[in-house]
Amino acid sequence: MRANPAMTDETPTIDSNEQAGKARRLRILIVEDVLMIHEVVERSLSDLKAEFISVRDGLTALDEIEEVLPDLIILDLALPVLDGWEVLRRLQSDQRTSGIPVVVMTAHGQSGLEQDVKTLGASAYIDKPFRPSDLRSAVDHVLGLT
Amino acid sequence: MTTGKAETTGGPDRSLTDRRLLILVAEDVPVIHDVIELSLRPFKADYLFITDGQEVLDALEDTIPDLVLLDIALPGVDGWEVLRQMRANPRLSDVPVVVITAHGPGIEQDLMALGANAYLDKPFLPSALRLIVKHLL
Repeated sequence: MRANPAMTDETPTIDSNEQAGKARRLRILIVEDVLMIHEVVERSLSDLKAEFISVRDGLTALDEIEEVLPDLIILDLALPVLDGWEVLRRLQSDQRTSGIPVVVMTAHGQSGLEQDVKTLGASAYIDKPFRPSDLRSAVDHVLGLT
Repeated sequence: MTTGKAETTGGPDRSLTDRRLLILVAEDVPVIHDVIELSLRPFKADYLFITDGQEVLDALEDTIPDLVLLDIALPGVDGWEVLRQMRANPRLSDVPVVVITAHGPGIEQDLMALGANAYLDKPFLPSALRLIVKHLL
């Protein structure tokens, strides 16, 4: 897991006790063109104290990332307008965003992709179709919750 | 193609408990969705309600639910074909499938041979659905 350059005194925490209200919520950006999958991702991660931001194409994703600097990005590679590969490349080339953990989702059967996406800076990779528990495990690992 | 706007939601506050189930309901009659959700209330579940067979197959390209409740008479691609394709896919072959049918007696063996784990005749008792789901999960 990479250190998030946006970490400040407002570093978000996963805390289920009464003090939790004082910690900033995690901001998780979901970049996926299928609306239903946004729901599945949110439900998979529903017990994190997170604010979910949903976008459906790569260009809007880059705009949103620049504006809010999310704590985590869930990124489908097959996106309209600007694909996930290009989103990854651009995130890596910008010091402000290169440390944001990215969990990449991609269609099953495309062999060799895992190494390629990790070379481009992805923190984790899951095949589609994915089990909600697999996504949660990847996120837990990337955020250091395990 | 124009770009879309971002949408934000505040995630619900939930304590860490057992993971919620993801149940895909493939049924074109909306009132049955309500019946299923009410029947399975004792289970902690989130639902994907889908009314068309092709959309079911599309959803299964992206995510693997914990359970599929499948009406055999779906518009578009029917439930038989959905089941066939699920069982032919190694990623989906273990997903429990309960077929819901209004066909009456006679097709149960065909359904089980195709890989259904259970079947329910319409109209069904909520308790019957609960029992089957409890057994399968």
